Amino acid sequence: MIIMEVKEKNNSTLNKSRTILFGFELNRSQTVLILISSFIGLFTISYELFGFSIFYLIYLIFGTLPDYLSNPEQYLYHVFIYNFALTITKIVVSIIFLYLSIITLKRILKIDNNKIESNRKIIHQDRIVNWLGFKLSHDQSILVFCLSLAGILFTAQFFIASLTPPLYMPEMCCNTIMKTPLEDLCCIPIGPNWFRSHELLINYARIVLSGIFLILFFYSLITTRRGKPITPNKKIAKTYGLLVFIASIIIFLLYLTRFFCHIFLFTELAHILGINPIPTNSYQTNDFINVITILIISLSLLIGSYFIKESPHKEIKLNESLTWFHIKLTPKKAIFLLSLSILFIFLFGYTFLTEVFITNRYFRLYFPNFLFLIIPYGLIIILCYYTIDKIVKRGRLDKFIESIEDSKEITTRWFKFNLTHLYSLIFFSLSIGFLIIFIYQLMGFRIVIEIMQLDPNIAMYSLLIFISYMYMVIILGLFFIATIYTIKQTIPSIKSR
Amino acid sequence: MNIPLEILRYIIFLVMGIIFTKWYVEKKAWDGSYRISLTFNLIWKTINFFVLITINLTLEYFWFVFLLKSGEVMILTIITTISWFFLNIFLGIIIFKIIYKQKMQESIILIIIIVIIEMFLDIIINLLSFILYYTLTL
Repeated sequence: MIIMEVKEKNNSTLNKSRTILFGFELNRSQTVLILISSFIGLFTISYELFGFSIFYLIYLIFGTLPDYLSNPEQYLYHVFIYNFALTITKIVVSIIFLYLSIITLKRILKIDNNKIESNRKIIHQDRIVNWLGFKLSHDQSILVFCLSLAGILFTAQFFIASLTPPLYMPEMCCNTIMKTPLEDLCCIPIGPNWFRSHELLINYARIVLSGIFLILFFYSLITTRRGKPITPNKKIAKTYGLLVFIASIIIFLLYLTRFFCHIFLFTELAHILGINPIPTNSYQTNDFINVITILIISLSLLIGSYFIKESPHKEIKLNESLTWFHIKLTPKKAIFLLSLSILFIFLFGYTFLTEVFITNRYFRLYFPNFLFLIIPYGLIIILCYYTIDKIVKRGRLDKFIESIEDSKEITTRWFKFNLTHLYSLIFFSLSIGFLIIFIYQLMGFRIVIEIMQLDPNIAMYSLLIFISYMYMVIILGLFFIATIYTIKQTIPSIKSR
Repeated sequence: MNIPLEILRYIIFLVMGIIFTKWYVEKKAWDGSYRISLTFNLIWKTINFFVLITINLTLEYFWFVFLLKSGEVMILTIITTISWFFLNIFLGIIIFKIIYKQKMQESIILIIIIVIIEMFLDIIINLLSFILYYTLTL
């Protein structure tokens, strides 16, 4: 009888506090995490879209296109098309992400959320999902769902970015020219500055890699929406084990491609591509050993991650105090730190993936450079993950949320939404993070313009460059206004007790 | 370093600072007279102006000889921009505390907003001067 009463009470609390988003039933902590992500998405994607992508498209239409039409022989046709295709894909992907962020934000901030999705099939909390041999909890399946959605859109960009190498030479690649990410992956060193590859190899690699990634992502999208009821004996995967698995499988697939490039260029199998096998040398052998080492490490991590498991019902110590690097975390400090950690993990994660798979400007997939990239970015991402994990795990976040919502409620107006105390605190924390990022951007602009001013060849710059800077500074100004407005509206949340 | 352009910037920043400080102080119901606002901004901007000129000239004297010949202009610009930003905020907070006799945290938001606006104005002044220069040379 008592159990029944407790269950009913729990159900009524759950109905009152639950949110349904894209069919998923979310509890308070899941809602908070998704709200933080959508707010970050709203600011970063719109800044990227209006500040850079759309501007670059206008620049291509009004700057490069007239030059190309008036003097086509001076331009490489495929370089021109490559830039157009990449920019348009980037804009489409950004619009989709922005739309998803806005929809999510609106649904979470709306009070009558449950009415919207009452007719749809709801994916409930108490389930276990079987995904590639892993047993996932509801939290983890939402994480995999979000990553798959992002992965599909990212793969589209990767496919276009690898489509037509800008300065492509069919067989010989030199490291002094700009290479696409895939070209970098498929070019094998045969000297201190010389690499070899083949056009067919790059084309096949692009199609096969994109295809495998898309199949994996679509499979994940479908399977994460299914599930079985929780059974007490079954153990589920640990989140960090899951993330190690995802990172390992991506690295494994990429370096497997490089392994096949070695096989198809330097062995008798080269005849399949219609070319003569290239004689091996010490540079190629060293690279081959590196590839094999990475394949063995990633495969070990991939297999090892299957054994990192935990029980689905962990005991929660309610009176446990939480410290982060010897700083005692109060609920407000914890929410502040959590918001900033998610912001920086998104920022550095996105920059890392874009650098490696799309732009390929500073860091290369080629082995030594890849390590230089992984160490600094990896350390920041691990620090952010450690913070998030510490605050979120074992129901601590629920406890913090409960504590904030129990205190005196402050309703703040933010554009056309009414924010609760908790949401005000989240928006305040994220706005502080964005203020730091935008100040950094502004300093960057100031430095570039100071350098332009010192340049004796200032007359060489075109008027379009100055106007473009003016446009980007104005867009940055608008984002500053939005950030300062959010801080102003939500600052009472940090002041109140 | 372009001294006339620096003086023009100084005057624009001073006027903007006076207007913005007066508005903020009145909003907070502190002593909102023009005289105090003018004193605060005059001291802040003047000290900042001279410190910046000293840093710039010192760096130019030592760095131009050794580094700028090899094209290391960027390092000098990065150092001056970052030092200008933090020095501006630090001086602003200290002088505001002395003149308005308010707590330090009360002035942080005001000073940061003024510094951000100054950075925007600085960039826009530079860009407009480029565009003007470009259209005049056409």
